[in-house]
Amino acid sequence: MPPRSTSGDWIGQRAGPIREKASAERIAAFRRAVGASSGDSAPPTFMTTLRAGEFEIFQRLGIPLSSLLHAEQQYRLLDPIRGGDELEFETILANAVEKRGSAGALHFLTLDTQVVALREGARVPVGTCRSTIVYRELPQGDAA
Amino acid sequence: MNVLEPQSFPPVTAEMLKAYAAASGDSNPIHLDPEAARRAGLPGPIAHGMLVSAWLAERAERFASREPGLEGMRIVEFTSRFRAMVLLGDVISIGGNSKETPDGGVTVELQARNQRGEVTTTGQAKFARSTSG
Repeated sequence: MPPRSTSGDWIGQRAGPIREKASAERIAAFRRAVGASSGDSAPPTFMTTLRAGEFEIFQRLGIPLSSLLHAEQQYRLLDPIRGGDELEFETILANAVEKRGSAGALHFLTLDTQVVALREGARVPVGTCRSTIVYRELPQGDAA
Repeated sequence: MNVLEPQSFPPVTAEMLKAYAAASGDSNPIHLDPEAARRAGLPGPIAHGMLVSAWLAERAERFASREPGLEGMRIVEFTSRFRAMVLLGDVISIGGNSKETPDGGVTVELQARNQRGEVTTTGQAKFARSTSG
């Protein structure tokens, strides 16, 4: 389905709650892939691995990944993520600002994700993420 | 205020991006497939912005591990901004500066530059005393 031409309608789109395990192996693979120094908890940008909610929203809205550029990423790290943590996260498209031009439209999308760890029956907030992503929408009628 | 001297990271390779794609779950073909990158209007596969972001955080943590004033602190907020593409073969160097903040924490400002001296990525890491168990 082709994307809507007014991205303001997309505000409020949600995904989740999604559960993923931050196994020790998963953390170690991420640590190796980014060349991080050794440590007990996950490296500071580990929550980038929790983007399934963002991808679900893009797919639902018909936005191809190849038309996206990551502009900015913010994290609040509330509690270190430990190997073995069961994580649960929800993502919301918090804002969409559109700028139209002759070459199509640029949409500045803000996606917020809240992450908790389920530890011994408690929901422990471990972090929040704010992604700012630019979607380059081609003029209607062009092949994607 | 302290200066963080620029430190270089390994040159960006296709293997590195493949490993990062697998570990991060971001397998957008613009990072892995030259044809997909070109179809998206890019000169070739580009590094994931978040890979360079991870390097910014690593640079900040290396600095913190050597500073007695930051002992017992951890990164509580981390922001990165992606300013220019990073291509295969690029060598990224990361430096910056740190300053103490009125709340007793330390803020580290970071810049990543490629081998041509162009800023590709900027970031900020806020360190504070860990309040968690």
